Amino acid sequence: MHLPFSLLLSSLTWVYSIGVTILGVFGIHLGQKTRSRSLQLLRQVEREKERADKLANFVIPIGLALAVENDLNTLLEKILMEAKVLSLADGGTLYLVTPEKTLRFVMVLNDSLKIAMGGTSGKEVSLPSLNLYDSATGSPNLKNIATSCALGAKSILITDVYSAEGYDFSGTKAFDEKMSYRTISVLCVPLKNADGTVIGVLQLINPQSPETRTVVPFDEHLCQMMELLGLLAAAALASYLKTKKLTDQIAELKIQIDEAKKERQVAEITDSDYFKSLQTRAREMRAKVKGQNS
Amino acid sequence: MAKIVSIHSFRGGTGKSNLTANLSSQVALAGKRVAVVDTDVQSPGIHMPFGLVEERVEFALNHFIWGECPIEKAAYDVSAALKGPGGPIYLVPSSMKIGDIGRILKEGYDVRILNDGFQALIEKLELDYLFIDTHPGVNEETLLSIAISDTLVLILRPDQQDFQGTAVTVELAKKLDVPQMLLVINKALPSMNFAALREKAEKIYDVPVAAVLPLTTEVVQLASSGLISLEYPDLEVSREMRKIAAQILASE
Repeated sequence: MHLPFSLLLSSLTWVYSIGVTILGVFGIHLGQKTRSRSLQLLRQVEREKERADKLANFVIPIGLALAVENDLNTLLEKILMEAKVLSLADGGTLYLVTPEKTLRFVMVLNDSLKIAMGGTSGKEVSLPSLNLYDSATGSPNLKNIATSCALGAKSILITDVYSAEGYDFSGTKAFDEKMSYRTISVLCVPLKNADGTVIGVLQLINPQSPETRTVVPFDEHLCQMMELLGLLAAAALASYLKTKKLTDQIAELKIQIDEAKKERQVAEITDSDYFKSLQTRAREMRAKVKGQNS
Repeated sequence: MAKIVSIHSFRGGTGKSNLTANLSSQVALAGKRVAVVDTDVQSPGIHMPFGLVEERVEFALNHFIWGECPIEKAAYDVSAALKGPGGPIYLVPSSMKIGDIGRILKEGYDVRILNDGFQALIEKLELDYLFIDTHPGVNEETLLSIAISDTLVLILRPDQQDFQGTAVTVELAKKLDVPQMLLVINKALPSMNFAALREKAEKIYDVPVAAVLPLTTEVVQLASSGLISLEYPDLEVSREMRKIAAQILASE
């Protein structure tokens, strides 16, 4: 049975229309996808450019400035302050690893709360050090974000401490309540030596939008910048400590008297007739002067 | 009554003559009549900071010791070195002539002559202060100077040999009942912890440390050619020298 030509034609037209429509939609979809992908690539290029710019214009010059700093308090302060500026953080803490395997607070800053402790502020940081290991069991302290960062030698980023799991933020929450503050985002970066040894931790909180002054998430690309800064800071600290050790060795001058030798030399002189006669004459002379004065 | 101040060191090279010249100048600037006697006949050096040239010196301490002149004839007015009002300040130098040095070392001398000379100088020049720049080490002449001193300034460098030697001198000075003893630690590297050094020295010797003087470029450059506390009064070393002079004056 033959189909009428008109029916065939209209069927073909219908199929064609559907096909064109499908192709058109697919084309639009492809175009959108391509545009979207292009935009993504553009943004990535922009970010990489921004990253390179920040590296060249901020991080490296900061690193050079740290390397020539001779005063420890100023050096510690510069490390934290430059990190805050770079990350737009509202607050930050710098810890150093101690021989007793703790993290000692050496510098604490918070712009909103106007807190400045350590460094050249003149105010001691009175906060107790954090144990890297449990004092009872010896197991690593992975509940605290700063100690975890130090032990794992890896950066840790928490976008919201109030909803984060796996870490004990009770101290942070107690601080917030006491100070009417809200810690939202935390970034911890290890300060690592060239051999990978962690000598400290840089902790930054609540990056703020310069336009709106509200807390915004830490830029994930910033983490790489901070890790680089952490390396440079660790290098500057290590260099300072090495120089200081040499200086201290010179400064730590011991005065050691060989008492037996001294007594022997004194006796050689005081046993002489000359000294005995001199001693007598000196006493007479001083007694005479004393008598004249009185 | 005149005060006798001896400046002594166990070893040479401590900066004793330089310090003597500066301290005596500072005391003279306080309005006191001062004389300095260089008893380091073996290596005289204190004439240099005072600008007393060899050509000007007809009679020296050596000639007094040999009986060739009264001591006041060997005393030269060097008040011009003060560059300001104060003093007068006199210097009795040891002879710089090699022949004279050789002769006195070879022949030796009776140290009692020195004591007579000091007393005569005090009387003739109506002195308030007599500074004795002693020979390094411990011998009859230095022991005499220590024995007759009202103030003994012991100068040392921060090194082990000086620490050990100074311990001997301190012990001897205590046995000679010196009324005032002061330690001066000289040529300390700026990187040293001066406060800690002072504390350690005071603890070990049981004698006050009058000053810890830093080793500076200016001191090295100026060497013995001038009075650093007058040429560079704002330097730390100059301020410390004035403090030592003040402690000497305070014991009146």
